[in-house]
Amino acid sequence: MAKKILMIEDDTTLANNLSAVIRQGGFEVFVSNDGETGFRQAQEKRPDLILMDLVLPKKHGFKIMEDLQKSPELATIPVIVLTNLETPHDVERALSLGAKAYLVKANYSLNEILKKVKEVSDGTN
Amino acid sequence: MNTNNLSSALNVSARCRDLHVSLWQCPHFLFIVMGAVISTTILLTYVVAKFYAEPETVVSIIFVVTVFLFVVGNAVIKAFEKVAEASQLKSEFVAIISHELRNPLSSIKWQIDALMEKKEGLTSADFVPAMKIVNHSNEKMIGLINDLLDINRIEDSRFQLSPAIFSMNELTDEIVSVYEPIAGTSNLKFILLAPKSPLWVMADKIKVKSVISRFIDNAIRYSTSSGEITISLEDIGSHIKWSITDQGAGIPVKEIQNIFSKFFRASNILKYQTEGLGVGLYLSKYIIEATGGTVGFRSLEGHGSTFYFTVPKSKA
Repeated sequence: MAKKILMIEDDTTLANNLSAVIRQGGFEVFVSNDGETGFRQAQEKRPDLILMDLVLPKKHGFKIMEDLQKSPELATIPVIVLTNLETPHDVERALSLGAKAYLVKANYSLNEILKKVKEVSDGTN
Repeated sequence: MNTNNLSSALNVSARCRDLHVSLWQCPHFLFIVMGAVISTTILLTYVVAKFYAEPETVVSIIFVVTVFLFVVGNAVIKAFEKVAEASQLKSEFVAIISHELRNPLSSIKWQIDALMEKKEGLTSADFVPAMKIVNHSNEKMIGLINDLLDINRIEDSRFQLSPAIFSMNELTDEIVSVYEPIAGTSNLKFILLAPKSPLWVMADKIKVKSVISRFIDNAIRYSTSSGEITISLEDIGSHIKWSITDQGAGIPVKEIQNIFSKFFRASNILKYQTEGLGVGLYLSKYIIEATGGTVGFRSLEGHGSTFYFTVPKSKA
């Protein structure tokens, strides 16, 4: 069965572009456009990996990660942060909240992100 | 150190100007004051001790000078704090700017990426939407850079207006027609209340256009999902009053005084949730006041806001 990826990204064009590439890579992809829906989807779909932005409407990425950590079933889901914020403080905080990777959107191509998604989701088997 | 470096190190007032602080808040200047006080005191104490031999006087001079140095020393610490704070603000600013610039940049990058993936069999159905996004992202970046340059010009007192006569109704119509489709996607409707005859004003048209665009943009951004945005134009004697009312989030009472300051974002809209630098109202206020008008607003948290500005009518 294809692995499930949950993508939380408010920029719909970015979300469309990236989800198409990840689907082609053989994954099942769910997209949420805001933080609240994203967290709810995480509870409902139990994805194998979460790929998310930090700057999100309704619920900031850090808050989502904190809430994931609080739930024993959700805490084990690997998270990749995909954002355009890059202050040392943001990176540190994301990693301390358990992010498996911190990718800066502007520095990665769609295929490089797909590669990272594969790497991280394989690593958890 | 070559002579050039030496002379620039000695040119204290230029260095203080570079730091954007006044002389009495500038560490370089305060150090020179301290140095001058210490050398004068040493000489004075020497003279007093040698010719008058009064220990009490010497002690009092030293006491007074110590108090003075303590005060200046404190000012130096304050000055350093101010400079350090400015540098911290600067790095926060760089973080916000790079985030704001990277968003459109990554949109463009991924758009091109997606097109390259397809390579063969690309049709106009692939190109047109992609080019629209590229174009939109590009415009966003140009707007951002223009705002930054304007702020820089204001800070260096180089900001200039080129006033001309134009009709406020016509300009408003023009801008509203650009924003109508954008508002439509959020189920927002514009209501325009203006007299039919042209309201002639004397102002910098491009700058006033940027003010109107920002006000409309804010009204859309801070509006809840559907509703009306009312724009009205009024002749109030010497000026034309332009105002816009939304049914959005409103502004929290305790933040009202900060609304026109640089980098302000209402806290009831999550930080970073909306795009932009938070400089729109600051720039708008500056432009309108430089034109000879006023800017203001009324707001009720949870019930929306009205923003208005006035510009002088043309005398012709």
